[in-house]
Amino acid sequence: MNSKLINKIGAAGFNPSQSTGFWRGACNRFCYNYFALGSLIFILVLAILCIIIPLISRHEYSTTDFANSLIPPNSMYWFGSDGLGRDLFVRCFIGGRITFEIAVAATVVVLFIGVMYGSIAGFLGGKIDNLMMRIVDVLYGIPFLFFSILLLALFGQSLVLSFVAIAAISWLDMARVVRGQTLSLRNREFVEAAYICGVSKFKIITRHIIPNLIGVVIVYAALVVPNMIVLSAVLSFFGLGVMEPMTSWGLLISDGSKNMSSWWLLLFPALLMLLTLLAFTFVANGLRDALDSDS
Amino acid sequence: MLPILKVKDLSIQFKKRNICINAVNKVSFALDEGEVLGIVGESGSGKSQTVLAIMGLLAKNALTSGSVKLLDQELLGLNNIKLNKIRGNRVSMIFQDPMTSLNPYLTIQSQMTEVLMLHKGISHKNALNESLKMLDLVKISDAKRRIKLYPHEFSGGMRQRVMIAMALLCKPELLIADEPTTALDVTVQAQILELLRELKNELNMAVILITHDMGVIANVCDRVCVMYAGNIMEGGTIEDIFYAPKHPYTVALLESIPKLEQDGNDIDAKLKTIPGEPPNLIHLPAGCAFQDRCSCVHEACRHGEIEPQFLGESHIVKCNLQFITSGAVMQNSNCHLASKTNI
Amino acid sequence: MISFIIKRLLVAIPTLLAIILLVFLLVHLVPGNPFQGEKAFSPEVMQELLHQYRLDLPLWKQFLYYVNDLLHGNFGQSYKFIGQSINELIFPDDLGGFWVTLRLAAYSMLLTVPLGIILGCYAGLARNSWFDKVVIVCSTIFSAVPVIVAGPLIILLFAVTLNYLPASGFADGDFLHLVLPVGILTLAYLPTVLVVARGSVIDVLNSNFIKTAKAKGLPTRIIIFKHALRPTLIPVISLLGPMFANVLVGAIVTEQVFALPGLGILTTNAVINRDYNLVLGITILGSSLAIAFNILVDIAYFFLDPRIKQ
Repeated sequence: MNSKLINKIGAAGFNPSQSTGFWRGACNRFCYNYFALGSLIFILVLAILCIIIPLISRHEYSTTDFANSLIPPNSMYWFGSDGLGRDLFVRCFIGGRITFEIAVAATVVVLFIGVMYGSIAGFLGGKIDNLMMRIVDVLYGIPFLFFSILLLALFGQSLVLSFVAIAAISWLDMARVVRGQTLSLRNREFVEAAYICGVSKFKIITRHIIPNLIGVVIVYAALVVPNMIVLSAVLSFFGLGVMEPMTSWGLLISDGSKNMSSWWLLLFPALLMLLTLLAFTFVANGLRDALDSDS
Repeated sequence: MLPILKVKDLSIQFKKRNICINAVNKVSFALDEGEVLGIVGESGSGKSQTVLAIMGLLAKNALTSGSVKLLDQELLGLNNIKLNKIRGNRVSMIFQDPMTSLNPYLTIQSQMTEVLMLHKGISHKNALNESLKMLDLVKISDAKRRIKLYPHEFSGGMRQRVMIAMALLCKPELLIADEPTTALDVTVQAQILELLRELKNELNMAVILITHDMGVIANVCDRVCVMYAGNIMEGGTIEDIFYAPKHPYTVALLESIPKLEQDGNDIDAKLKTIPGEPPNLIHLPAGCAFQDRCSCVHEACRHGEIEPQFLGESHIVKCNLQFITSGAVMQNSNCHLASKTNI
Repeated sequence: MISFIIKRLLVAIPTLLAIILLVFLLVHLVPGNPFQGEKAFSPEVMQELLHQYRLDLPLWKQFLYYVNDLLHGNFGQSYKFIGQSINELIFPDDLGGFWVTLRLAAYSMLLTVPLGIILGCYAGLARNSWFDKVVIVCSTIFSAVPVIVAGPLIILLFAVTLNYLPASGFADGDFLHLVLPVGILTLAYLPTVLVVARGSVIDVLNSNFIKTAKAKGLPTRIIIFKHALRPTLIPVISLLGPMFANVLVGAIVTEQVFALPGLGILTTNAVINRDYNLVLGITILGSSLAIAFNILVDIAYFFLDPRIKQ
């Protein structure tokens, strides 16, 4: 009837993630975003360093050396040494390793629960969806930090368990996002078009809905990792989480802020964490821009 | 006597980084008191941008050239303060989508009276009375109660009536209606068009009606401009355009109107369409903008600027064909003009 | 209006109850009892203690008693400081506990909201100007850097290296001691408000009814303040509900960083001492505040958007 309408339906009738080269296009767009690409490389290099440095360093992260305590950065101790004479350089990277491990493990749990919960609520819709989202609302009402503290205090004996528990209350946003996306996808023209063409429900889910969810999930995962890093650091400030002599960035910063006259104790771990968080933000922004097929 | 509105060689370009979009190209037309001018065209043909330029409402990155005169006053390049004295006062506009064109957070009363208080400088009480009168005029019953309501409490057709009432508050010399009926039900469409026609006669104003519906044009307008890719391809009276179309685009447009009654044994005939797509406004081809879709395209259409040609007093065509011998056209067997027109 | 508030309360009360039940169960399902600590009590004393804290009752009775106490504004007794009520710990007579946290959260909200709206709106109005770009870059960076990292670094810079401001402590809650913590907390939440306000302004200015207002010849001043301001504020207001809970949590983290004697220290001590009743009380207080604030936001919403009234 009118060419505008037909154009609109025509464009929306195609599944954007099915169009040839959508992922390649997204990849290209991401790679041309030098900020995001640089940040991704930074994170990868840092992660590799966190694995390698504690293995090859001449210092052991837990060896105390009271003769050399609180030494400012020099050629022997690149980042200086702490109150017990331990090398801060190697501690920063072993702390980074723990921090990354915690963050990645928690993110995996968050993604798993969030995507399952959200997509089930979105697919089923109706009363079940209502009930499931009501539960999310209830959990939302709890200030998450108290809850994390409570969980960590209860499961404190096991670091992994406690972070699984923390992840288990951090999936709320993810579930909401995935549910919203699923709901809107279900009503999108290309899903209706596939339905009309007689495509089976299973195929609609695997070919049309999941590929379109992946974009959102990837972007969101890039945001969950830094959140988990921050959360683990916050809990360190409350004396929860990683125990001495093992360390994490949060613990190092917490220690450093108690001993400000030895500035290096705070500056190096804080800078490392700052750069990592910024890098994650830029990667997430880059991913969001790259996967936004409208632009 | 001066025409109410005289647009001469109006061109609009949009600059975005180093890309330049040629939205409107040397458009000219004039409009007399009490006259209704229809502008038809596909989406992206520049009809909306043309009237937005008249209102001074183009996006910030737009470059305009040419002239738009309201009586003897030049509107192009006028600053906002001076334009604001004209907009809503001497020239009013109603938009396509009545559902979103009214502010949902303010009552109808507040949205109507502010226009009068601003332009006429009258008190709130007088403005309220005027507004009520205007709502009566657009046939909204129980105006006294309804003026206190918010837009979401009205139906689509009612909202468009409110929009019209609001546009007419200051008794403008020119009303611009940008697809006023596109978003409405067919039955409501007819009512709104009827209302517009009545009001035009009552207030003796000039109207520019933008639409892509040839039926609406035939119903309401005195004259028509057919736009394509930023150019006015053909302009003339209703009779000129509907009974003696000269431009291949106009002809194709008229043929693509679905007809209820089919002639003779042609029952299985498909809907006619114009093959191809409108040209890219960033890289317009040299010569005629319609050349790639035109069934009568000739070598001469691919070079140089096509100059508009006058055929009679008001009929104007931007096409080379008028000068090409009939033989040349006849050679092109696809040309649907060959059999219909006497060139 | 009244029926609207009642309706909201009817939704809020079960939510709060569900939260209380959840946290209560978590705390009470921990094996053992809070008095099985380093120093062993004799069985008689233990029995007496359990009875005093009603821990010898079945769980559901304990819960009912607890809710009943809460209804009387009583958070129960501390497990650690025997004989001391949690109310005294959370709401001390002098400046401390909840009052510090509240003060910190309130000051930074009072700064964040207007500042975020003004800067965000200005950036949105001057879209793509240098001001807009600076604001966007800054808010991206600030929102990426948490209090936990920025706080110590800023203390290092201002208080230790430059020696401009006091590093930590609260003294009597004087102005100088509050500058850094409130500033940090404000900067941490400013980007959220700002980005939403900016996006909202851009959306509203692109909306059809603003085009209508321009076509009516209204001057920019009236377009912005009469037509655009209210729809711009609505997304910002709806953001404030969840944000308040976050700021409260942020305030507690800030207290930890700046060593302020607020709920943060109380929580840390409670965790170290396994004073679960105190953690329970603080969690419930936080949740109720968050829910109360959400109701306030809904009421504000009610006044701002005429479409809700139906």
